[in-house]
Amino acid sequence: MEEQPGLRVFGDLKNDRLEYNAAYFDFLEKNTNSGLNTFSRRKQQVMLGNVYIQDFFFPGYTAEFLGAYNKDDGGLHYDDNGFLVRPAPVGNVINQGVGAIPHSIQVGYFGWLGSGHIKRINITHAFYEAAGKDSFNPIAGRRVTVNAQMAAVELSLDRDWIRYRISSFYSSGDNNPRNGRANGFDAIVDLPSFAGGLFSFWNREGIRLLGSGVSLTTDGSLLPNMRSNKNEGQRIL
Amino acid sequence: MNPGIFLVNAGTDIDITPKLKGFVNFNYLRFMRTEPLEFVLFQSPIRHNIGEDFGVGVTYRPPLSENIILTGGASMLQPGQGFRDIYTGRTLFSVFGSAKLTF
Repeated sequence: MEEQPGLRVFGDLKNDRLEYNAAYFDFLEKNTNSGLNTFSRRKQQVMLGNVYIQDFFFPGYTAEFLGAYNKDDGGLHYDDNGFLVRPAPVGNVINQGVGAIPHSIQVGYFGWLGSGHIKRINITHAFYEAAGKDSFNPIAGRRVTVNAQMAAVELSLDRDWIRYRISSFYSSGDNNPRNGRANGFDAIVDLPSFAGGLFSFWNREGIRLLGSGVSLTTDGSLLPNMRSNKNEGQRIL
Repeated sequence: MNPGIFLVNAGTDIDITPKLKGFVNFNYLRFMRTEPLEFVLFQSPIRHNIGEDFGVGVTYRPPLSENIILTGGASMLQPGQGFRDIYTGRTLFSVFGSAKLTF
């Protein structure tokens, strides 16, 4: 099994023009080398609710509003190859004489997303605000409050058998890694089919940050999120 | 405490036949902030420009359904100054293929 176990309540209103979901996930740990689930708990939980509204202002355009809450009590964890992945081995993670300092991340995500077309122009877009706290960010070496944003938009035009598309993607970065404000955006779990998807080198390939124990970017992600490992690592917002 | 990113993309999706679809893709990538990288790597300056990313590929669905999807492609990253500051100026290549079977 690759998917995480969860509970979902869903339904629709107004002749299916309004759909809603509420879901709860309690993540399982992944096998490092296969990416498949194990039977151990990851100690990460996600609650989310969303609503899809069809023909939102424009016929053919569906809007989605989403709220999610993620609690990641990483603890101390070594991957199946014996490397420390939680907490990420970077910055002030080791307290001399005490050992690794585990930390808990609690972040809420609020998003407006949309997909459809406005007249002949196809549009897909997303905006997320992430807000919360990290009890001990390893790079900052202290407790931090999170305030980060992500935005993406793609416009495309269909002409016979060709679709021409242009898009742009933005995730906020942090300008002072030692202060108490974390402004770098990271997703809970991402696999974007955007800006070329897996046909983009940057999206497809994971690139390690040499000499640091973390990645510059993980495979299947556009975000330079500095995780130790995509599934087993914690976010460094 | 991560650097963030800004990218612009242009591409085309081409329905070559009902079973065969082609993709051409170009991205220009920049870090939003490089202070976290400079701090972690003890290196300064690290510039913002990651580089240009070019990719082509095809997906082939022989039964015209989602049960069998064969994907292949190639992509390359031409490093910009920021990527060169961290790694290398050599062009990086990736060639890949996958078969996804769902029943």
